[in-house]
Amino acid sequence: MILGIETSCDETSVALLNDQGEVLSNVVASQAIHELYDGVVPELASREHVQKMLPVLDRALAEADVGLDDVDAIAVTSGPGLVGSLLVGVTTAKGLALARDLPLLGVNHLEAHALSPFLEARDLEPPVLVLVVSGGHTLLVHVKALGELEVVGRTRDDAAGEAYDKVSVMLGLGYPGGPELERLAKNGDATAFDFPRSWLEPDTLDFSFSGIKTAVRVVLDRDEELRREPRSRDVAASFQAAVVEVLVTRTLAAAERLGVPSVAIAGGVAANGALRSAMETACRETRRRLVIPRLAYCGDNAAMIAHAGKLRLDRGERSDFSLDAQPNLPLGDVPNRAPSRKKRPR
Amino acid sequence: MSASRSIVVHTNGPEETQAVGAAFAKSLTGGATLSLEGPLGAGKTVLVRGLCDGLGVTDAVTSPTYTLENEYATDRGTRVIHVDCFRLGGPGELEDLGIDDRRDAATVVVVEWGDRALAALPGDTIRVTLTPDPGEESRRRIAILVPAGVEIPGLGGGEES
Ligand SMILES: Nc1ncnc2c1ncn2[C@@H]1O[C@H](COP(=O)(O)OP(=O)(O)OP(=O)(O)O)[C@@H](O)[C@H]1O
Ligand SMILES: Nc1ncnc2c1ncn2[C@@H]1O[C@H](COP(=O)(O)OP(=O)(O)OP(=O)(O)O)[C@@H](O)[C@H]1O
Ligand SMILES: [Mg+2]
Repeated sequence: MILGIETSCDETSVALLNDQGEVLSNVVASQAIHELYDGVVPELASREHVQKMLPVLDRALAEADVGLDDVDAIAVTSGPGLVGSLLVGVTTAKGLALARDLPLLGVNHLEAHALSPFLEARDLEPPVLVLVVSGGHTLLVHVKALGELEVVGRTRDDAAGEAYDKVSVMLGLGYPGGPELERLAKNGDATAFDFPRSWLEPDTLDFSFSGIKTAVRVVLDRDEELRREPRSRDVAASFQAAVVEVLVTRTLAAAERLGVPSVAIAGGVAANGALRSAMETACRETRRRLVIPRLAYCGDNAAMIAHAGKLRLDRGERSDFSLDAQPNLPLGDVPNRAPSRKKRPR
Repeated sequence: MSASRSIVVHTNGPEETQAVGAAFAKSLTGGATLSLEGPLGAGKTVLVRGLCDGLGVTDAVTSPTYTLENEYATDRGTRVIHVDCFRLGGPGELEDLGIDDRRDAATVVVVEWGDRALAALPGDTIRVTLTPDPGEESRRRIAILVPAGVEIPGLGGGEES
């Protein structure tokens, strides 16, 4: 059984996976306090992680109906993320692994997102093209093998979730505003505004969302009525249509170019219904398989960390106790790969 | 001691704003702090991209809104710390990022939405305000306010104030 810990941003999460890789529990405590502040407060975030870590750990064990004695390995997000927040998870994981003489696995948060489609879709096999789309990231990841990931496209400016959140703020919906903006868009006319789709150069698989953010501001500045319902619905729907079109078109273009038969979406924005249904249609038309993890595994969660850690463990990899928070860890870099060590007989 | 000066330029399109950033970089000395101000989509990140170019950063410059800060090494052994206060509640939270501990002669600090945390920025911070033109989508007014006592070598054409 492997225990996973995630504290890279606002969520404090602990999960347990059994030897078959099934999720026994996945407890996620969000730091709701941030909504009061309109922002993430780094210091506060780490303090909150400290306060929540043990209760969340206890609950994860209770929900899985197991004890720490049943745990055979510890996986933890070591980066990228906020250093103070990451440290809470890394320190907890090192403490547990050291005290109980268990293997420790540092996990790259982005790699965990990119591998999350494999968590439940047991028959899914690489190669898979994964769109990782969240508040902080918009990446196209070519999963060639479970241990071989290549970033083939990324945003050059804002992430898609960031664009959702900024437009949401412009429309007075608060932050983070992805879900609220989607709700507002439901009853809007997606053809009311022709917001720009940034395709960049013909050959690139990169994204750009700063242009559409700016185009929305320009439209709102010209007519204040558009910031309020009912007309804000049309702005939201037209914005969403542009973002979704770019995400889907680029993802399918990448799959086509790389000859990859399966596509997946991961990260917080994968919760978006318009993105899901547009991607479903596009994949059906091109006869590609589409996998979208259930919502609980789309946002930041420890189940995906335990899952990525288990894949590393199964390959015989380990991290050593010099494992540290790595705020800028790029995808593709394995956190602190140490020579594998024989597991203690138990 | 020189008086404070302000320089105003207008740009048409992101390339021109990037060029302003790159040109301004040539006049910057290590240890400088810049506060970039203006509404969503004003072009703060675009300007930083030019600035980084001019300072010798080869990495891609992206929005730091979510990461809160990005650090870039230059090809001259110096570095740029690119911060964003959009998600921060105020000066106290900027202090929590611990930038003051990393400030030195080889570091340029650029802060998007710096006006949200001015109290945590040093007194010699150079304030750059980008204002979109209501009539012209790709036009921006860029005002650079250099405080009294801050020498920017080679920067001519400023209006004394
Ligand atoms: N239904 C939705 N439609 C659009 N965007 C959404 C929706 N639900 C969530 N989001 C966006 O997803 C983002 C949150 O994603 P996630 O939970 O993965 O966290 P994150 O902090 O962005 O993590 P990461 O460190 O992985 O970038 C926010 O930008 C939020 O607005
Ligand atoms: N003259 C100009 N200068 C700068 N950007 C321009 C100009 N004309 C058009 N643009 C466009 O405006 C957008 C500026 O976006 P950018 O993300 O740099 O703004 P920002 O001020 O950093 O926004 P945020 O507050 O979200 O961080 C880009 O899409 C850019 O192409
Ligand atoms: Mg910006």
